[in-house]
Amino acid sequence: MKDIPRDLIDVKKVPNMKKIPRIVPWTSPEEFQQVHKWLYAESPKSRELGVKRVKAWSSRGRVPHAILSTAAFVEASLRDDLGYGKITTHELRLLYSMVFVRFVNGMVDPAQQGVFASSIASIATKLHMPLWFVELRHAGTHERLPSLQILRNGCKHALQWLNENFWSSQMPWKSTQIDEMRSMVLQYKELRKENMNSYETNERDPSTKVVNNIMDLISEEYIREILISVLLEPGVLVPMAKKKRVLARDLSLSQELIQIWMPMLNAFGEKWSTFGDELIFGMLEVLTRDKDDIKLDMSTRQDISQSKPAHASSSYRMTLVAWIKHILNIYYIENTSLFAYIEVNDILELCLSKPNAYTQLILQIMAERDEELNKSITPFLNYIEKMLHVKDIIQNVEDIPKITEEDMNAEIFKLKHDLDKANKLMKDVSSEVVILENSDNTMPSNKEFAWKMHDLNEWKPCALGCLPNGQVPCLDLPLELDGPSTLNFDPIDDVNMMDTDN
Amino acid sequence: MGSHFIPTTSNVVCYEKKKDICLVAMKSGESIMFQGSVLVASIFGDAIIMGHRLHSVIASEITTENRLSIDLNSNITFHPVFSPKTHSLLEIESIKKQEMTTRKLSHSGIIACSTTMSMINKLLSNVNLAEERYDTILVLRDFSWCGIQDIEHVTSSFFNNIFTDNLANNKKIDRDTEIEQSKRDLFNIKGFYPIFDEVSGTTAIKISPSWKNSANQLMDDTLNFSVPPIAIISGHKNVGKSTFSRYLVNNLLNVCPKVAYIESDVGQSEFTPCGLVSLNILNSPIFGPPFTHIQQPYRSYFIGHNSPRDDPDYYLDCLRELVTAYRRDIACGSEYGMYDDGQVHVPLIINTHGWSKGMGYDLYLHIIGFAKPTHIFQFYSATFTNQNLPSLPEYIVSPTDQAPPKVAFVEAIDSSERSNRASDHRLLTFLSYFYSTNAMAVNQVDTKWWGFNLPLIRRVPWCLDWSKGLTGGVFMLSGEVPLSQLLYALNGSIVGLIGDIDNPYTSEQVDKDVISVKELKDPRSRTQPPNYFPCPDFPPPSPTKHNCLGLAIIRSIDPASHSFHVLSPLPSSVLFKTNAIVKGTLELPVWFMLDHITNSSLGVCGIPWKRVPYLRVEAGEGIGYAAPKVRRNIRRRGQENQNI
Repeated sequence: MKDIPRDLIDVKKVPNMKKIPRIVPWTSPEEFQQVHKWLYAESPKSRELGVKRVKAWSSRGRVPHAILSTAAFVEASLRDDLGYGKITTHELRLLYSMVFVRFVNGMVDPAQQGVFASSIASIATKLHMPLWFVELRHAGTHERLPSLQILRNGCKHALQWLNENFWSSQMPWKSTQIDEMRSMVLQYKELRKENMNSYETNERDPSTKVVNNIMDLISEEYIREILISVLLEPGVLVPMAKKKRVLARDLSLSQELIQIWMPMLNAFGEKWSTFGDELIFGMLEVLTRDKDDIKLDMSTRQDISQSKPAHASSSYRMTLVAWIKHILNIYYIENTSLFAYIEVNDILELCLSKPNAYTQLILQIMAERDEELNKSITPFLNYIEKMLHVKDIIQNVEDIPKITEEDMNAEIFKLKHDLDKANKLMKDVSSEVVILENSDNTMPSNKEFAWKMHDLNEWKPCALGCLPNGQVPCLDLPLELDGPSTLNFDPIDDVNMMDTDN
Repeated sequence: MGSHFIPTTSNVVCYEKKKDICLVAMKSGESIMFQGSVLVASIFGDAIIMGHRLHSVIASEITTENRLSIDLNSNITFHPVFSPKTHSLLEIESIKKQEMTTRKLSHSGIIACSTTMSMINKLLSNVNLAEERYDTILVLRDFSWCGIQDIEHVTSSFFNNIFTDNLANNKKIDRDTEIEQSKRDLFNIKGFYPIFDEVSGTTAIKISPSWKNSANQLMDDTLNFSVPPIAIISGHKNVGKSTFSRYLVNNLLNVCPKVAYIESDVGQSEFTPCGLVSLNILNSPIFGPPFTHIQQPYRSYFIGHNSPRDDPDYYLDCLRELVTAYRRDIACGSEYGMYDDGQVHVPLIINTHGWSKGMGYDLYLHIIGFAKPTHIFQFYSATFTNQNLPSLPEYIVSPTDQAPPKVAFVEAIDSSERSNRASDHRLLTFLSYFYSTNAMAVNQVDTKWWGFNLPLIRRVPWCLDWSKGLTGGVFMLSGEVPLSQLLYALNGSIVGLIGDIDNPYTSEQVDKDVISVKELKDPRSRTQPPNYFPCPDFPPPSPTKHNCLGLAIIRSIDPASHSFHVLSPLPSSVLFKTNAIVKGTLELPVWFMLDHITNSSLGVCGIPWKRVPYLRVEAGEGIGYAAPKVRRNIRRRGQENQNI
């Protein structure tokens, strides 16, 4: 069951609109995974830390309900396990019951899609939620408060249910998953080749089953990391043997390659609308990876030394260009629904921003297919052509300082700041008499230094939350600052804590 | 319905090539409805916009050729008028000149320079006043330099064309659009789109008789009462309280130099972004929706939420303090009156929140209790009777210790016409606030009042050293965020900047607390934590001692130099007064995290989407992914015929 946020629905209505990213409270997927680890850790101290971080997230807003519920269950159970003597059974029952009521309601409410309310039980069934969760909610709200025994049991099961239904579907890929993916993809290749070579065309191509298995293995979110990284390994979409790879002259894939791989790519494209984009951008990433390799000498293409990594070999890269050409052809000519979601403008943007011999080829392919585009990018193409071949001559360009809009804006900011300062000084001067008489009224000097403009030389536009180096710094403050914990930890637990931290 | 005015070459005069000024000669009863923004001044006769009468207060003479000419030494004051499609459009109406019974009032605005004055005189030579018997001559000037229309491009499509209305963009070009265009071309002013034909999706504000009567009553009482009146406006949400408040302010400015305004609707504030309650002193009429007239308040407090529900007592304390400040400093005080003779009365308008049920109604009665209004304007709808407030209790209608307030019912605006949602208005106000420049406050001409051309995330931030600058500490209004996690809560969020009311610089008491925190400091860590006051263990900043200076975004944090990187539209003179920050639950809109100018689909500032903090491009999967969201319109079977 997928929750489709409003902005994504809007995207579907307006086909060419860009996706609006959604706000999440964590800084990175790693932080998200860390909190998951903490909340389900053995050590109570780690679990407490997980609860603390979720509280910080809550103050930001937009925390998925499953996370809030997990943290609430963990917090309640920590109190139960370690607050002995400080909390009565009745208090615990009230605590657990409220967590349960809010957990079940929060899961069920978003599923109330119609105008009229459906029964909670019917929705719970759809969510594969045990019905006794719903009964606990009901009892906690309307009937006799459930017993502590059943609530403890319920808490344990609810945490397990949340782990299976929410957290595990957010799990990142593991290296074992890549290995599994690789073996499945290679298995597909073998089966497909067998099927193509057999004289009687097999009605039931066994390779389709492998494709289905692959699609079951991962969620759309991780196709880039797991699936596409495997597809781009030499020996998959790009054959191992150099002689089977594509020549720069015609840039067309061999029939064999197409026949082997297209059924699989088609299936993926049908299942995940973003697949085409992800594949092309995965390829483009490889093609634009090496900054120094801007210039490509076509004549020396064959003499790539074996020591170079496969991704740097130009025959490898040429084959990727041919694949992109093939997919773009499908997009432009065949006009099928397959790969219809490709963001051509994004491809254009990336190619123009990272001009090299390969992206130049892709731009040319696109220009050939789209007359309007051709008109508008021809000057750029000419420029890129010049740049790629005449670069050595105009190296002196580097010496001329570049003034960007940012520099100018920074300058304006600085001037404004100075002006403010000057104005303030003038004010200060005019009220100097007063200041001399009553020095308590002056602004303490440290106050003034508390505010200053960011050093312009070190400032670079960066995503919100990041420092100019593009990184989010470590935001932890010492745990000791929180004061003594209200939980009675076992002294032994400190040792466990150290383990999870490392 | 559109404008009641037929433009011709004789009643609309402008320069052939210059697209920045024109004269419009109108007869009483004629009106122009428009979309966009424009500067307006009257140089002859009267005109009325949204309840405010624009007088021509300048000396002029009629020349021998029956032409009008203005005295180049007089002052012409232009008023900004904003009419975006997010709200009902504004109308400029010509009315018969009113003989002034009170003294001439001049409100602040943009004063015309001598070049403009001579340009006006040049254009005036083309208007034949005697022959056509015009009642009003207005000057319209280009106002697109203020930059507000660029707000359309910050979000992806929500606010497209709220200011600009290019007929050329219309897909079907027929005779009607051609006629409309030819009429518009006569005005020839950038960013000003008069509407003559019925255009779907645009409506003009309809002022009902009950609104007019209420405003007249209040104006009369302002002139006759010995103390300035206090008017309170109440009603359910989306009935037109804010529009009516503006209408009242504009009317009152016809008879007083200044009007005080207390905003108690934290969800949709009139002069500030949401999350604040504030007292504003207005000395010029307001033409346009709230997001077009952000103003630094006289006094303001940070509530930190879209609703007072989390801490109603603090909310009431703040409002009580605002009313006290008004009574003490403003109402009859010479401090803020224009004249020192003690005769100047500054009336007060209090707009209330639209939370009219349950605790919300209770809060409303409390506000009436300490505000002691002389007038209560209560919204009333004949169609949606379930939205009407219950009748006021006896102790308010006929109190024993004071004169009873005058209670009047005003007609609600049909809420079905108002399609925009509160969250959209909040977003517009946030955008307008954080992108505003200092030019607006001083009415600077030809300088952008809004700098939407430089995305916030690209701007050079202020560095606020919390060990030096935040002696008052960090307050957290919601949740119990432990200090160890504080920076995770603050990074990339909106906070209120707090300063002291009387002595803005030092407070010795808090220094002790700073030391106590230092002792707790972990010796291994070099990061000195900020002084921290989480609610409810600590009360929020006291309204008698501290006020809110404005809002800021903590765009990043550098723990190594214990500094917050802060973005705020406030001038440095105000920023430097900050000694504490408060975090509530105001959420930073996603548009502040994106670069709408470069608008790369690959990521933000060179960081690919997957590595951008706090953003996620993929749809979430798994049960329970949705963040909790309240839905109140689910019905039970058997409720089919009930209104909700």
